[in-house]
This record gives sequence, structure tokens and C-alpha cells, in this order.
Amino acid sequence: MAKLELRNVTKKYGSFTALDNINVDIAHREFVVIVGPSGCGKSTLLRSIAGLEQISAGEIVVGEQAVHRVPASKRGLAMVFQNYALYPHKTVAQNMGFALKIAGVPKAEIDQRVNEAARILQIEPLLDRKPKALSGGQRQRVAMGRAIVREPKVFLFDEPLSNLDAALRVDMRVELAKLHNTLDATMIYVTHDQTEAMTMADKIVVLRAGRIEQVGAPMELYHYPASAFVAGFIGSPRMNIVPATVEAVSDSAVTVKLRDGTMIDVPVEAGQTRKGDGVSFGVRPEHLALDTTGTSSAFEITVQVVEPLGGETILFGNTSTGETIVVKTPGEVAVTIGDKVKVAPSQPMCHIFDSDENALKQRARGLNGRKVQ
Amino acid sequence: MNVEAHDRRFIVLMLAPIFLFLVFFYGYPTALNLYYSLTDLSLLGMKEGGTYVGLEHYADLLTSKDFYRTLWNTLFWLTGVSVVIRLVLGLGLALLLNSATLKRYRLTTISRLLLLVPWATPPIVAVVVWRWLLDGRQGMINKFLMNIGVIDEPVAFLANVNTVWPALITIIVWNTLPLVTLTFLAGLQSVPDELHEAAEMDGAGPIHRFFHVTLPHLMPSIVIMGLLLVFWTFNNFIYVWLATGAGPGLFTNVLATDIYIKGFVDFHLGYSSAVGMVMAGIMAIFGVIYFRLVALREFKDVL
Repeated sequence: MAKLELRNVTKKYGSFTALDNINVDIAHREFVVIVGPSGCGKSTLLRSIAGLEQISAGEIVVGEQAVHRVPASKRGLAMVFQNYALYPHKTVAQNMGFALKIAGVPKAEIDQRVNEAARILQIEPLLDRKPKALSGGQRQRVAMGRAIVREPKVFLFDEPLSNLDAALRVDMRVELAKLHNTLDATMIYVTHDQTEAMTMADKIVVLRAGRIEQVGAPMELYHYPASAFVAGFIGSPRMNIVPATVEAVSDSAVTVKLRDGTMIDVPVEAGQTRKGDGVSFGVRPEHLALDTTGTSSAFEITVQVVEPLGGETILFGNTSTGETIVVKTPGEVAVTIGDKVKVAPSQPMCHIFDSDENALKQRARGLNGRKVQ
Repeated sequence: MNVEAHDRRFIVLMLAPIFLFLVFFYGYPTALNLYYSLTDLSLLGMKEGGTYVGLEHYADLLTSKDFYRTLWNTLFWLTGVSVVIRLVLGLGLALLLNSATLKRYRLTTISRLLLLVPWATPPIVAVVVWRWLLDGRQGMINKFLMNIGVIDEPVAFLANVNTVWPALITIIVWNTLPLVTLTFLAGLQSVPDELHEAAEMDGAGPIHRFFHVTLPHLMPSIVIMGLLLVFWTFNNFIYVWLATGAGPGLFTNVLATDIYIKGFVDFHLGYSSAVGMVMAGIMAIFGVIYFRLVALREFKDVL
């Protein structure tokens, strides 16, 4: 177990920069999730930490030791692969004990540690089977078992749940979180699934095209996304982001006008933004509510799709100027396709992004820079 | 008619052609050969036919010193040594061709093309070329070895009892190694990168990775290749016959050449048939044992 630091990590393939000056501090015992869309460099970053890729510049420090010149086999990190990568000709027990065998650990101790890991993962009955005879979920557990028995300094996970079906993925997510608590381990987890990031992470690193877009606790990223990209990536359904113009700037709020003419006061600091600037207005589906009281900030949408989920209902609609808007309301609502309804944003929960897609600083909620539990 | 009977009729219909083919072109000649081996049929007396002599030929065979020497030549030199050398060299060459170094210098394609040259050479051409190369007076190899001072006077490689087997095996290996190498290369390329990476993360260096990832993955290919090579080589006639004519004397005589010599040089078709039956018997036994012991186990793991 150890802390891990990435200092100015850069990875180039020829003229293509896969990782551009990445700086992250990961504390001992922290569960860090690296998220981003396909091709953002998240797997490359994980593989660089593992030692499976050589970085072009920068430093990777595990504990007190700079390891970026150390071969993967000597870094003492364990990795769980997306396709499990179990040794097909070895039994489950041999798969799990392989690293210890290589390291020259006595047979009795290997057995004891393999059995202990198998007990934690509840795969004791499978120890004598070959990977071929296991289901996807069982293979996943064995892959984790292989990492656990090593008691590594840091666990690395490369999209470990992406090959499982939806129900199993939820189960494994919960188990992984439990495992993190039990093992007292530092874990770095790569995924493109924001739900996994939100539910498991102590800290989320959002990557975009090889650069860090934002680092923070899940709720920080949810409430205070630094950019339209993070805002769109974190949270499900995605945040509604529509074009708007700045109509007025005051000490307490910035007033924007949507394309359909609706005026909305958003309690953010204007910064460099001036009246007349083109900006983006963002509000999450769960922060829009059906409005019947004639609130001035409410705007009209024509409902296109209704998804009743029982506990909540998701409406997909278009504004009069053609932007798609998603609304998530609790419970069931009596709305059908083609209805025109008014929806009102909860103003403190709204966001404004400038023309460079950077968020204007929130003022009302007073939670800036602090983790929200 | 129920479905099962219908299926059965379909199966019989589909299998019938190959079954008939086997009966006429395999079963019938084998039976005939078995019959001949029990007679004193001579190539000069085909019309009269032979008289039945019972197991006399087999008794002669099994008490003949020459036969055991021929058997030893076939099993040890022709088959054993050449197959082992090809498997080992083939694996080594495949690892080399698959290496990152070759890839880095973009030599992969050219080296694979070069590898095909010996394979594309017909055995008869290969043997003739090698006979010239190994020639005692004009041979390039003698000239080269004398130039660099390894030997003082020319060696007639194919006529000298000390060098004839190594020389013969060299020809066989040269001509057939590419197939082995390409088979192993295909096997190597199908090893998932993730397995090597997982082993690397587990702390395994190149040697551990070879024995725990690469070799187990290649095992089915090695088993199959070994089996095929044994069958091809054990039954092979042309390399020995063209290169040495079973000589010097009968020093390199093997079962396949012995059949030819007994039947078409000495005219003893009956005796020659008996040798053929023994040869087929050995192959059959070998095949059964091999599949039972090794092949099935390897396949169960991976397939």
C-alpha cells in the first residue's frame, strides 16, 4: 500500500501526444477513478503506471520510489485486465498463486494466501477449475483474486466490469467498493462509465484528449464541473447544455437569455463575461421541474418521448428553437407525447459556460473546492 | 418415418462416398498386401502367383540383423533426430521471427518471405542441389570449410559413414523446417498480448513468460506438428533414396527404401510386402499411443 504521484507525465507516439503533462497525487488508500471517452488516454495512463507503456517524459512515484524506469515485473503493482487475461492452462488456484510462485514464496504460504483471497471473493469451490469452465463473473473474481493474493502496493483496474452484463456489473461494483474498504488498498480504476466513477471513487480524474479536464470528489464534479465537457460527462442523464446570450451582469447573478427568449438569473460570478457574450446555459435533467405557476424562468418544451421508470419519469422534449431538453421528475406524470409543457430550472443548480466551455464560478452554494458528502 | 431414422439415413448417405473410397483404395490394397506377405510372390512370377508360405517372411524379418538395423535407422536417425531438430529449430526460428527486434527494424515480412524459399523448393530439386553442395570434389561446402581451415582435405559427406546421417538430416531439415516454423509462428501470434502483460504484472521475466504463457499456448501446435512430422518422415522414401540410395552400402537403409529394394531390386515382392505390413503396424501403434497419451490431453485444455 502506498501513495502514488504522477508528475508531468507525458506519452507520445511519434507526433501524437496521448498523454499531455498529467499531474495527479493519489493518497494511500484512495480509490481513484480515471474517466473519459474512448481515446482520451485513460488506458494509456493506467498502462504507463503499470509499466506496460514507457512514458516519454515526467515521473511516476510509488511510495518514495520513482518507478517510471523500472520494468513492469518489478514495480510491485497488480492489474486487473478488461478481458481478465487468466492463464488458460492453469487452474484457478494456480492462476492466483502464479505471482507468488515466481517470487519464490513457499508453497504452504501460497496456498494459505490463495485460500484467503478465495474466501474473500467466495470462489473457494472453483479453485481446481480451469478458466474455460468459469462464467464471466467468476473469471472476473479470479482476476481480482490474482491481484489480491499479491498484496500489492497499488491495484490497477482497466475497465474490469465492461464485459459483464448489467446486473452483474452492479453487484461487482458494490463488491469492489467493499473490497476497497476491507483491503485497505490504494486503487486506480479506469472506466468510461460515469456511474462506476460516481459510485466508487474517492476522487475522479476526468481526462479529455490526453489532458486532465478536472480532478475532484464525485459530488464536487457533479455540482461544480469546471467545464461543459465535465458537466456533460458526469451525471446521468446528461446535463442539458443549450446556447444562450448574456443579458445582464450583476453582483449576485448573471442573467442569460435562451434562444426562445426566456430570461434566467444564474447565481454565478461573471468573471470576464460581459453583456452580449455568447455562452452556454447548463442545467441537469433532475434540476428541471414541470411548472404550472408561471415562473418567469420557465420555458416551454414539446414532449417527444416519455420514459416512465416508476420511481421517476424522464421526458425528452424540444424547445421552440429546436434544442433537445431532458427532464427527470420524481414519480409518475400525466404527460403524453406531443404535449407542450413548461419546465422551470432550479436557478442555484444552473451553470453557465463561456465561449471556451469553461464554467463560470458558482456563488450561491458556498461549497467551492470542498468535498460534498 | 421418424426423425431419427431420417437422420441416420442422411448420415449413411453422406458417409458412403468416403467409406467406399477407403474400402477400394485403402482396404483392398492392404488386404492384398497382407495376402502377398504370406506368399513367396516374385516380381518375375506375377502371372503364376506365389505359393503360400505362412508367416515365414515375418519370422525371417524378426530374426534378421539387417532388419533391426534398418528399423533403428528409420526410428532413430530418419525420424527421431530429424523431428526433434525440426521442432526445436522451428520453435526457435518462430520466436525469432515474432520478436520485437525484427518488428522494430521492419524485417518481419522479408524474413518470412525468405523462409518460404526452402519450402517452395520441390524435394527432388532440394536433394539434387544439396548433393552438389555436399559433393566431395566440387562441393561449395567442402571449399568453404577448407578455406576457413576447418578441414584439411575434402569430405564426401554423403559417402562417409560418419557424416552421411547428419548430412541427410540437414537436407530434410532445410527442406521442411519452414512449414514447422510457420505453424509455430501462427501459434505465437495467437497468444493474446494481455496474457503476456498479465504475466509481466505478476513479476514474470522473459523466461518465466516463455514457459508459463508461450509454451503452454503452443503445446497443441507442437503436438500436432510432431505427429505429422513423424508420419511424414517415417514413411518418407525420397530423401534417403535420392540422396544416398540407402548407401554407402546399405548404411542408410530405412524401411521405405528397404521395401523398394526387397521388392524391385531383389524381386522378392512377398518379403517386401511383409516389411510394409510391419511398417504400417508400427505407425498404427504409434498413432494410437500418441493420441491417447498426449494429444487428447492437450486439446481438452485449450479447445
